[in-house]
Amino acid sequence: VSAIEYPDLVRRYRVTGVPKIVMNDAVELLGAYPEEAFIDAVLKAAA
Amino acid sequence: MALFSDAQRAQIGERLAALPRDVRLVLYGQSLDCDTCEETRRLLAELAGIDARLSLEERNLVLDREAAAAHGIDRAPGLVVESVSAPAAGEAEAPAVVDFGVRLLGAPLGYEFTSLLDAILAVSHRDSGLTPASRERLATLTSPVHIQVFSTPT
Repeated sequence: VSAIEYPDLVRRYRVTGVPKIVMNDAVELLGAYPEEAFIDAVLKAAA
Repeated sequence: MALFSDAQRAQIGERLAALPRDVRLVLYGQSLDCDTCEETRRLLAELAGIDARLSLEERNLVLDREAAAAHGIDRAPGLVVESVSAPAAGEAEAPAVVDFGVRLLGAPLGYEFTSLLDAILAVSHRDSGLTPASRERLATLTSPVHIQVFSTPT
């Protein structure tokens, strides 16, 4: 999702930097992480 | 005027060489209120011309509303990257079209063009590139997870 073209999404998800990841509108990650941390986040978002 | 130089075309061709399956790009654009739709359309048309395994289907977000909704696209330019065609050698029969849910919203320019090529490769290979341990953990999921990655072209 382009953080430049959709200011409404940037506001809604409070995108203050990139890459910003939002999972199920519930779990947020900002910046780079090891793969394991992404999987943790996915499982947390699904819970 | 072409968007890619000959050197860039060669580089992209090399990156996409030996795609195991065809990849279809479905672009949803609109004629009004979309600053980057035309540029995106030209970029994808040129990209699709580089490798015969790539195809581009252009749709209109407003006129093709139902198809857009089915694809989960509500913005332009919105792009669907899906895998088409026969299974690769040694694989069991697979459906003709496999949609892994990969979407790009916004013009795939700058670094985002690299993300598009990565998406095409992953979809064509039908492989996420995740470790076996990660796959095992994800296999426990029982409901879909919507993942949005916000990025900029620079």
